[in-house]
Amino acid sequence: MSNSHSVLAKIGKRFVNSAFVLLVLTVVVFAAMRAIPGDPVETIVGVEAVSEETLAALRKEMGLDQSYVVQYFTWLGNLLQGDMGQSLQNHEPVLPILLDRLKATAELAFLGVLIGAVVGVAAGTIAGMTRGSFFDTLVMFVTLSGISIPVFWFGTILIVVFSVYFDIFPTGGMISYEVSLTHVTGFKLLDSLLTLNGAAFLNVLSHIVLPAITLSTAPAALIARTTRASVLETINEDYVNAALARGLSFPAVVMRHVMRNAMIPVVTILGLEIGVYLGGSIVTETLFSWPGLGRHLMQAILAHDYPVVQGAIIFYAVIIVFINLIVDISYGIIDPRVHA
Amino acid sequence: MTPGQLNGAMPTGQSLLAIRDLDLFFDTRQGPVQALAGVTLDLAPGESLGIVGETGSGKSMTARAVMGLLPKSGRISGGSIRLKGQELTGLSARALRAIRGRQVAMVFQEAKRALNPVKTIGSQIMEAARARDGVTKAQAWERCLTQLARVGLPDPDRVMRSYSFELSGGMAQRVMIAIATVAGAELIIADEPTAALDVSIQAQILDLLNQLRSDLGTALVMITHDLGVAAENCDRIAVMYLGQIVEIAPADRLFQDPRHPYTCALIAALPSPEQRGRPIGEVRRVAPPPKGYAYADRRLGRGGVNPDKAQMIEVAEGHFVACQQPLPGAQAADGGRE
Repeated sequence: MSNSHSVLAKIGKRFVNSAFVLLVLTVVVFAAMRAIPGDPVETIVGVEAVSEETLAALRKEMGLDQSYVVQYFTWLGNLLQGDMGQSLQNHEPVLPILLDRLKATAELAFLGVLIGAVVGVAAGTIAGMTRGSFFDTLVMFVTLSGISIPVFWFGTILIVVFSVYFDIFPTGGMISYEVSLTHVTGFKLLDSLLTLNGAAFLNVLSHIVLPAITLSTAPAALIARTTRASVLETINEDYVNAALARGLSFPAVVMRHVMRNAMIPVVTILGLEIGVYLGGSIVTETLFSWPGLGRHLMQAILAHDYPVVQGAIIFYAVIIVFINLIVDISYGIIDPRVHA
Repeated sequence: MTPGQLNGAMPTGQSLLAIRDLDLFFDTRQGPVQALAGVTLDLAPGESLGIVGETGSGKSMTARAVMGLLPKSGRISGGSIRLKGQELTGLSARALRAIRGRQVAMVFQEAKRALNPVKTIGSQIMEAARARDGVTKAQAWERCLTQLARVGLPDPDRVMRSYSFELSGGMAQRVMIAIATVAGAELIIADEPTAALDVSIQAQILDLLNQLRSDLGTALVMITHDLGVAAENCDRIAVMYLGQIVEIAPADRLFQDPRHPYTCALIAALPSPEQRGRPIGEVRRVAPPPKGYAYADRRLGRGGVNPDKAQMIEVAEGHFVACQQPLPGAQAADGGRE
């Protein structure tokens, strides 16, 4: 029987583990940024001829003249208080900007995960049920291609074909300049729905379609293959025959008995794929000029903007850790044996 | 009765289940492989029939053919399966569904694997209970509780809320029997129902099956590799070998007067202190289909290969044997043949 006390204890333990993982990560991120060749001050100053005194003054102002250890603990101390510092480029506070960018990424990732999960699970299930059929062969071929194709190449092809040649979708961006949208939550698709702004909704949708497809292709392919394998394994279980033997139809058996069992490995893959989604979102957002966290991170790395890069990576890490926590908890909902 | 044609059958009017000359093939990459060759048997309402044979003899495939649950590559190429006069071979999926659970139910070898690990016992037994026509959810729930109590499970309410991993093997098999009987099936096919259980639990489960059979008037086909289990629990026993029924007789008669060399070998191989460990020969490969006297390659004390398919001969009332030359037994019985 599931025991709510032990469940809470397990979740609490996971939280402690997660906090430790994040702490280690702060060291890695901090060290990695310092290890990259290049100087943020010189990047900001650019090609102008500036005296050594000015450079030193700038470094002092940014706190970069102190030892790495002091810098690290100053940063960590502020981080724990919810202060990610200021951007070295424009002195804007990091946290509000990242939160704002995260919304655009969240919308893209949500749609990407949705497409990936729905298409992947549906294709995988049907392929598994009709093993050896034409559809199954097709799914196996397409998914192998989907896993193999690099994100940047696939996205480029989509832009060339659907934006440039057929001119169906915009080449990039999130919303056209001429379209007005009232700010409610900051999530543009959600805001346009909340304000019943159909024009804005369609405009954002037309911008999000290609990046969402680009982002979801590789995970969808992997989910389809995992689902297929899992369905094939589950469909031969005795309890499937037993359910058929009590008079249930094959589709009913698949829905009630096969799917839930087959979903256990798929949920694992989906959890792991969140990392792939976020990694893919950096490339996809850059490719489609999507104003999200990934593109912002890309620009910050090029500018050696330490606080922004460190903050963005902490964001990604927190998201991945949090989603894996949800995946772990969802096992217990799908499979009662987990809490036994 | 015309021996050789009815092959151990009784007039169809009386039988609940009538299988005639059933041929089953599996399509494999190496070509078709015959799994059943001319299987013929009858079962009266309320009767219990044991089907014994070694692994690969076709006993489970016979059961799955009746349930319409053959593997995808399986193909019935000839013969018929009639349940209360209704032909089951070639029936649509929808028509088969109406029969499964309501008229024929199945008890599986490993009950714990036959129960979905992520669904409650209640939801699974309810699926069976609701298969019965015109039953409301509340009535079905009551019926489930009654049936769980009937199969000897204390605290049916708790069992309904449990998952299979929370039950012992014996309890799980009782649950499977409750699921099989909850929709009022007239025929239960039990495929090695006790093979996965401890000896002490085995006896309890067999007693339960017999008890239910006498209480509910359900007919039982018990598939087992254990001749002793079949002898103690079944009215009649059919011995299968290489996809054929080689001998079928009332249980006591089969032991007193076995005619088929394979049956004799099986009986001789029953565990006894002095015969422990003596082999009866190896299982022949299933492919290619057996032709004629398929037992020649086993050292059973007989020789001679006949290329013709074996015929069933009635050697005594209700005792049929498939062989060209049945072992000499009571001459009177032989003399009674045409």
